[in-house]
Amino acid sequence: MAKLTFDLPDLGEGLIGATVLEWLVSIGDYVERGAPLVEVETTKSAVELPSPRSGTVVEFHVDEGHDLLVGETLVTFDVPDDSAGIVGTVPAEAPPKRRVRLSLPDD
Amino acid sequence: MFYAVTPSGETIAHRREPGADPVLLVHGFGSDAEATWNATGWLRALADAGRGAIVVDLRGHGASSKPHDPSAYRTSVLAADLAAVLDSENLGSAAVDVIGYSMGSQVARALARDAPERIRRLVLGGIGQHEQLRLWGRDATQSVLLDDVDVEDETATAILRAAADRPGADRRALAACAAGVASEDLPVGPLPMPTLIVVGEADPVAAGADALASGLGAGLEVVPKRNHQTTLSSRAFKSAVLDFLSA
Repeated sequence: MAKLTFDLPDLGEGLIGATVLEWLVSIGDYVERGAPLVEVETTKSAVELPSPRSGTVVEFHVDEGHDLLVGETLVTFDVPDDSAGIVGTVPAEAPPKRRVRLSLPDD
Repeated sequence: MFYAVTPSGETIAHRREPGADPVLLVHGFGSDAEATWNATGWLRALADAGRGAIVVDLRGHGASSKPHDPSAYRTSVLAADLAAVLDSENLGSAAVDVIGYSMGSQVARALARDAPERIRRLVLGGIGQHEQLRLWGRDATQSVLLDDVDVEDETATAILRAAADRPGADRRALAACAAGVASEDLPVGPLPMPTLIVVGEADPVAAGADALASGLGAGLEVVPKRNHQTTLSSRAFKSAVLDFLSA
């Protein structure tokens, strides 16, 4: 198994971040790609984000009721090694315990 | 996207999602089918339950016609648009389950008033005792939508601004819609079809939902801590509705 982290995706309309309303899966759950993963609220609307991959949920990087910016780490999955290789982004080290701002918004 | 044509020539955009027993989904003021029903996970939740869907952009919104005359947005006209969409979906005489949210719930109530035989079960989300656009008043809605001037009611200002600022929004059409919908009251009497009202605990728009529920003879589900915006995407709303529709 390999660990893959996923960031908060760009939600469009110039939005730079979101608040996590509710995780729709639990740590240890196996989640299919496209299944409901997390519900987030932006200044414009509330949206449900589907899982970007199939895998087992290992860690939430943000608690319900907390904010994060687009590009910040949202969740870590465990995926089988062979499928992890397809995207070629298998981190060697453990996922960071603290949230890190990866990039500044363009404006 | 398909377009139903109304008797007066407007086009009403709608789309069919595969699945059995499609549910008609009616979005609220200033939104559209995509933002209200797809981005919030509703189409996925219905598909997971084996249900299809018919999503529509109400006139004045999304890819539908956007007349600028308030009389083109009377609830009877908006309800007739839904009937035209159902006709164009070739469902025969079968009644459908209908889910509305916010102003979409008022339009669904108008369909229940004008053509009750078309609705099997009815879900009214995000409404209370008073229709919000009517409660805020024509001066307030026109002020924010046409003159860009905020009003005292913060919820009103926030919802109207969000509507006006959406990409592709036609402010004159939205102002006409707000005025047209607010021009009449909907009946508050027992509905002939099973009806469920779902509101957020922290949604000021839904004030008095319990009184409305008892007037309409409807069930009431209150989603803890959620506001007008966040109730829509909540798992609690979806599971309450899926239970109601499969009962």
